[in-house]
Amino acid sequence: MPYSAEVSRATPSCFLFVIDQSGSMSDPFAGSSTGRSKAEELADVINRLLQTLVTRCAKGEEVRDYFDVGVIGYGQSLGHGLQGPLAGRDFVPISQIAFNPVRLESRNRKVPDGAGGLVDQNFQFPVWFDPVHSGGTPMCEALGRAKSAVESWAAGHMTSYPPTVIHVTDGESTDGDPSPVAQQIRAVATADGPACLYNLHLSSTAAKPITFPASESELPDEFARLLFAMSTPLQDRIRREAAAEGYAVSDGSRGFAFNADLVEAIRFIDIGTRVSGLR
Amino acid sequence: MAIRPVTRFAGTLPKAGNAEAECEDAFCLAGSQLAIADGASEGSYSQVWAGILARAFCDDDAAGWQEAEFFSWIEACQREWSTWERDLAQKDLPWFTRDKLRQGAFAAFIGLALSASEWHAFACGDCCLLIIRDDAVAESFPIERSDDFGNLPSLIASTRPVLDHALQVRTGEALPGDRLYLVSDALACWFLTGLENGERPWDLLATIVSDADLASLVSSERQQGRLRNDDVTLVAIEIADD
Repeated sequence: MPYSAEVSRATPSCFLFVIDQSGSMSDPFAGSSTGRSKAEELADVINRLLQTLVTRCAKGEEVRDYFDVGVIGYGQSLGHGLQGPLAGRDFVPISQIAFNPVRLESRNRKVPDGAGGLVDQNFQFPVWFDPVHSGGTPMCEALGRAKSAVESWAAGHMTSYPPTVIHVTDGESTDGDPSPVAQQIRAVATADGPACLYNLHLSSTAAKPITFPASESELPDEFARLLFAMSTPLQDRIRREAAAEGYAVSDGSRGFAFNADLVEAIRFIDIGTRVSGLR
Repeated sequence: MAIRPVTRFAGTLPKAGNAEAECEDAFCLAGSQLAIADGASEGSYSQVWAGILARAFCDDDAAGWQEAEFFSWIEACQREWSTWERDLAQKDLPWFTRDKLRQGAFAAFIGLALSASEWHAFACGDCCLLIIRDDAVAESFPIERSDDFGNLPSLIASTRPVLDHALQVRTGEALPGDRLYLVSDALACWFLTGLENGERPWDLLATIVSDADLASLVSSERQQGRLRNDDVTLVAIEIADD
């Protein structure tokens, strides 16, 4: 059965985020009143996700290398999205991510005080990824880089759970039709199955988000249908997780969200990166 | 007629690929009290929590307990965890260690107390008690079918109240000649699968009297794909006349 390989230190899996950093990412999410741009909100989502992945792998004062993680940013320029000691590599093990945030921000939140009230709690928010937004949307080039990265990773991890690529964009490609390169990514495989490509489209309008659609007929335009066709159908376990979160999913549901707002973006990425019991 | 327990074996093995120190199961035996706890692999310091639960149960006398006493006992264990955690937090810990500590630790648990002629079991989650009597399975508690493993078990949390419905309590007669086994989930599932297939897995359990015996059985069953790769704990006692 595909997608059943154990995720362990001996056989880690990988996540690759391909992030649109084009000029339009400086706009806010439609309907947002926070004054923050999509780029800033997305950077927070990615940082929180990296934090979640690190915490999942943490055991005591160590972090077990269950995952290799990569970030590719594309817009005015195309390159590796992680910085400092993590820069310049397609993938880094999660333990290195754990120990190398660019900075730790001190933030406050309110937590229950156990007596019915709330109290301030100071906590450290690690940041690995800062918002960038300028230029066009060279999606084909970015996905081409992603394909090389996962191909090379898969060749060195043939018994591992297959790579998961999560592509986030807010608009159409400016360097041609990305469908062929998307299919190439989905053709990369380990012995446990083909790589998964999930596409998350961030809203430009106030239209309702469409998440995990099962057919093109649910989609409003050519661009949405294009991204849908580029997306891997949800495997059983992830489909069950999505259903448990309240999504209406069926056999044909794909790892695709269109017109996602911030909340939807967070939920989509969370579900797409859940792995079964880490061993 | 009074009974007494005779220990046949107690031991644990980490999952293949992990070091011994990384095993998150714990067990304890003390006279008429025995317990095993299976720390959740998603948690951090789960082995510390599992250890607190197993030891604290054996330090007590649960034969007369009802549910209320068990819940009080859990609260005492949680206070012990809280003290331990406070001490740990004095150290300079990485941000992710603090994050994970905030989530607390979790464990499945089964505790067994023997009185003059009865056994009393308290279970949360998927660790099991198996009783073999007259060459047959007389009890499998709290899980009776191999299909019922893998659903999210209710666990004992180190920092949150245990839900009422998460605790299962059962009492039964303990007769001379009975063999009682406390087993963690992977081994319990293996046992019940064998039983459902018409096999006699208790014959294999009865041969285990040393760590080497356990290692040999576990290795062989894992290799054949009959035993899921997970920490394995087994405590085996036999009931004798006093």
